[in-house]
Amino acid sequence: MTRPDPAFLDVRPILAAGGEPFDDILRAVAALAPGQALRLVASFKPVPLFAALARKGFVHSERPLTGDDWEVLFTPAATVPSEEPATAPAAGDAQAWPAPARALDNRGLSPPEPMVRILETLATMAAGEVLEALNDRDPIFLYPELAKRGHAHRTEPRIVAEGGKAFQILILAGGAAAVSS
Amino acid sequence: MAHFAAAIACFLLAQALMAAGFCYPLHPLQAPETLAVVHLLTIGWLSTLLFGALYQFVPVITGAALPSRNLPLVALLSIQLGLFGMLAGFLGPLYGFNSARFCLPAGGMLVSLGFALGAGLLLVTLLRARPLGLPARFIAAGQIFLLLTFALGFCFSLALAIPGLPDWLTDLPGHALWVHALAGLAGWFTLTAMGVAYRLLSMFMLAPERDHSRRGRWSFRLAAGGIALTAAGGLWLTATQQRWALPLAGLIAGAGALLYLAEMRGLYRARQRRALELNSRAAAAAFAALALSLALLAGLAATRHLAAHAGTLGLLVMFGWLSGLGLSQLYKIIPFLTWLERYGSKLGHGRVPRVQDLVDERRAAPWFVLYGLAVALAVAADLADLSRLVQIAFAVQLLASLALSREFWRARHAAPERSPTLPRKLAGAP
Repeated sequence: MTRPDPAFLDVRPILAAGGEPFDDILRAVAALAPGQALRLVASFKPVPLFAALARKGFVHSERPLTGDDWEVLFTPAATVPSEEPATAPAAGDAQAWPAPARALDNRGLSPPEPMVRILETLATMAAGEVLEALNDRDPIFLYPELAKRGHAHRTEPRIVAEGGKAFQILILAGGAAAVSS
Repeated sequence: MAHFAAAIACFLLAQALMAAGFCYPLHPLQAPETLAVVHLLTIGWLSTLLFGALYQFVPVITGAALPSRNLPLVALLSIQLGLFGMLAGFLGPLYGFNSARFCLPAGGMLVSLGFALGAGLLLVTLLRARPLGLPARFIAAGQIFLLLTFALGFCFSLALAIPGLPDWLTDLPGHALWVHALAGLAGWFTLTAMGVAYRLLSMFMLAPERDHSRRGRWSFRLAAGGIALTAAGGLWLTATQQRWALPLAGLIAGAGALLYLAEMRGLYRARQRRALELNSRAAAAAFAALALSLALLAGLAATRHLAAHAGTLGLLVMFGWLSGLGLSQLYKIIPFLTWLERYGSKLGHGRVPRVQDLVDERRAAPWFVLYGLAVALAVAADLADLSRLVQIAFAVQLLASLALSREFWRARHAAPERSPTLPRKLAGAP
C-alpha cells in the first residue's frame, strides 16, 4: 500500500468549549494530500458532515467509540478499494493504516491474558505503528484502556483457517492521542 | 461491588436465622418466619447478586452500554429498603405490631419499583443489541419471569393487607403461590443463571462459544417455553385440566434443562484449559445439584409427594444449584473486577500480579467442599423428616459460607504486589 496515512482531527475539545468545528474540518480537508483520508473524532455522530463531504467526493465509514463519541473515516472516493466486500465497512479504514509492525496470536489464552499481552506489547511500540492481535473474543475490557492511553483500534470478526471464529484487532499506537490529550 | 456486598450480607443473615431454627423445617413452609427468610434469600441474596452480575455482564455480551450508570444504585436501594419493609410486614404481627397492613404493600411496592427499574435498564440494553446471542436470550427470558414474579408477589401483598378486594385477588395467594415460586426459582433465577454460566464458563475454561449450537437453542426454547406453559397452566386452568397439563409442561421444561446440562457437559469436555480453576470445579457441583433437582422433582411428582416435600426441593434448588453457582462465580468475578480496577491502568508499565494471585484456591477449596456436603446433608435430612439434623446442616452451611465470604473479602483487599506471598492476617469477614 502506497496510500498516505490518514490525517487525524479530534474536534471534541472544540465542541466541549462550545465552539463550531466546521471550519476546522474544512481546513483539514483542504490540507489533505491527494488520495489521503481524514479520521475525525467527535462527541456525537456528525451526520450533517456526511453529506457535506460527500459533495466534495468523500465516502465515510463511522463507528461508535466509548460514551457518545464517534469516529468517522472520510476517504476520497477514488481510492476506496473496490475489491473490498461491502459488508466490511471498517476494512477500508484499516487499509489506510500502515502494515502491522507487530502481531500477537492471543487465541487459546484465558482472560485477561490477551489484554495483558496487548498492553505490554503496545508499551514497547512507537507512535504510529500498528499492532495486530488475534483474539478468541471481542476484548470489551481492553477498549476503555486503549482509549485512556490514546490508541485507536479496529476490531473485526474473522473466520480463521482452522474453521473457528476469532476477532482481529488492529491497534494504531498513539492513533487517538494527537489532539485529545 | 455494592450489589455483591449487600447480597452476601443477606445470604449470611438468612443462613444464621435458618441455623438458629427460626424458620422451615421447624416452622411450616408458609409460616411468616419462613416467608421472611425465603424473601431474604430470593430478593436480598439471589436477585441482588444476579442484578449486580448482569449490570456488568449484559454490556460485555451485547457490546452495548447500560442507559445509565447511577440508576442501578437507585434500584438497589429501593429493593433493599423494600425488602426490609416486607420483612417487617411478615414478622411484625408475631410480636404484636400491626405492621402487615402497611409494611407488606409498601415494601412490596418499593421492591417492585427497584425490580422494574433494573429490568428496564437491562431490557433496553438487550433490545438495542438485537439480534441476541443465546446467553442473552436466556437473560431476556429471565427478566420477563422476574416481572411475572414480582407482579404476583405484589398482588399477594395487597390481598393479604387490604380487606374487601375482588375475589380473584383475595383468592390469588391460595392457588398461585406455587406459580410465584416457580416463576422466581425456575424462570428468573434458573434461566438467568443458565445464560450467565453459558458465557462465563466458556470464557474461563477456554471452550468454544456455542452461540449457534442447535442443542443450545432447543434447550432455551424448551426450558423457557415449558416454564411459561406451567405458569400459565397454574394461573388459568381448572384443577382437572391441570392434572394432565402441568406434568406435560413440566416435562417440556425438564427436557430443556437436560439439554442444557448436556451442553454444559460438552463445554467442560471441549475446554482447552486442562487444569480447572476452582470456580469451574465448584460450578460443576452446582450443575450436579441442578441435575439432582430435576431427578428429585420427577421422583416426587411421580410418587405424588411433591406437595409434602416442596420444601426439600426448594432447599436443593436454592442452596445446591443457585447459591452454589452464585458462590462459584463470585469466586471468579470479585478477583477479576478487582484486578481490572486496580491493575488495568498499570499494564505495560512494569510488573503486575495475575488475577489468580489475588486468590488462594488451596485455602478456599475445602470451604466449597464443606458447603456442598452441608447442603447435601440438609436435603437428605429434610427428605427423611429429621428437622434437627437439617438445622445442624444449616449451621455447617453457614460456617462454610462465612469462610467463603472471608475469601471474597481477601480477594478484594489482597495486595500481592507488596508481598511475595498473600498477607496472612487481614481484618475479619464482613
